[in-house]
Amino acid sequence: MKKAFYVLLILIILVSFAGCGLRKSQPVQVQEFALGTMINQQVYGANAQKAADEVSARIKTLDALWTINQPGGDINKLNRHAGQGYIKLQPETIDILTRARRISDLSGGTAFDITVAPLVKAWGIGTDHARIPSDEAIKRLVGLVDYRDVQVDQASGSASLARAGQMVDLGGIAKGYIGDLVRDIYKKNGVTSAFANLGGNVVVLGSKPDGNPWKVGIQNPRSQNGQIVGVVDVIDKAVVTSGDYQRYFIKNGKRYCHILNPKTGYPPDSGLMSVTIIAASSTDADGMSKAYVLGLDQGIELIRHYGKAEAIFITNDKKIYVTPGLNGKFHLEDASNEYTYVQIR
Amino acid sequence: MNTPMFKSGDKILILALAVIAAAFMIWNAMEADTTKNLTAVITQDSKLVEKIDLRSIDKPLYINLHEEGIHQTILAEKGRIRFLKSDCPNKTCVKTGWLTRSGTRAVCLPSRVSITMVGDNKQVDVLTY
Repeated sequence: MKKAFYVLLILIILVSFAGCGLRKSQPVQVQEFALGTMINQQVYGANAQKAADEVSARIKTLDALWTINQPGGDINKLNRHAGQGYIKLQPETIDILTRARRISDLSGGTAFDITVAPLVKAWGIGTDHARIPSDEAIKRLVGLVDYRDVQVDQASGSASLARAGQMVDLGGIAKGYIGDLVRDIYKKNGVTSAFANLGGNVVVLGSKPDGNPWKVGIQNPRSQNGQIVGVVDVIDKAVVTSGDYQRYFIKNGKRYCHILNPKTGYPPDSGLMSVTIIAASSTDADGMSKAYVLGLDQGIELIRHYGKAEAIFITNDKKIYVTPGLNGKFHLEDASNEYTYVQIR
Repeated sequence: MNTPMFKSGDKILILALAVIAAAFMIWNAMEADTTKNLTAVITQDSKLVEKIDLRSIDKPLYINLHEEGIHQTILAEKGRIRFLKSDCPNKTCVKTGWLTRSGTRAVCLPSRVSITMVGDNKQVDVLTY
């Protein structure tokens, strides 16, 4: 009798262990370089491998289509054709140009403008020939920046740049836009739990396999080793950060970051180190994160105006401003003990 | 016949169970102690009042506050902190109890005082940058 009881007990324990093992099914993990950055995927479920492969292929195709320096790519064609009327482009390109326009409209082009490319090229930040252009050069190039000069004709699937010398750079939106496509590919393959990290632009599908929200770490903008200042719990969201610490150069003690103010032509001196946007749309989150250019007050205003995003602003004086919708979802996890949490009301 | 209470096979089973139980307890203990640094950050209306390293304090520390017309006492001990007393209406802050883990928080809305636990627990799935 007694023996039977113990045998039963052990069987129950073993079965419950096996149960744990089954629930924690191993994800497909992919790490690759594309879009000028590192791409990570972690995908769960029966079709995970197929979905991840499809995502990798799609990213490579769009990378070639949109990289500014890729001859034969759509953006390269559009730029070369500036001032010479409409040119036929791929449907995805027409779509991303349309979406970019809508996001620029939200801030009147003060935060986000894809025609900032001539300035980006002149500064060369993030390349090995970064430099401070002359004031005259910047003044001249700022005159070429106007997102309204990108005209799209939906009916014919073509677009134009109004004036010669104008250029489009999708660097501030492509990763976000692709993030939405990635999530669609996962869904199409029946995947219900996954994340993709496109060089810091994160999209998560569903929750973790155990039902908990994904924990997305917010990087300490002044840490060299991926140290975080906080964690945000998300389900089915995009989390995108823009900051002054990814690509920059320092000259005479001043930091020049790669995100430029489209209106002045200079890297912004906005009092912010980073802006993180949490939204359902990855495209919009990417565009909205350029609220970084505007500074705290106008940045908050832009997010409110948009109305479908939450945000985390980290200021130069190491305060972390968090929008009310993240209450209970954002957790300060600051090992440096230098940052202070501030709830935006 | 006078049979022993446990046969040798039973003893092995009991021993195996004891080992499994011990392994569980050790596992849990290790899980609980992944955070090396633990700091309580006390703020009032978003302004920093005090930062306390909860790993390094040896004897209980009482912090008395008088904010927005409300008297409060916060008690910090090694590895934990709480609102001990408050003359705010709901006493939600006191009811929150001890904070011991990084990422947790106790808030008193009437006095706008909050205690936030901060540690170097790097339990994240993915990093945005």
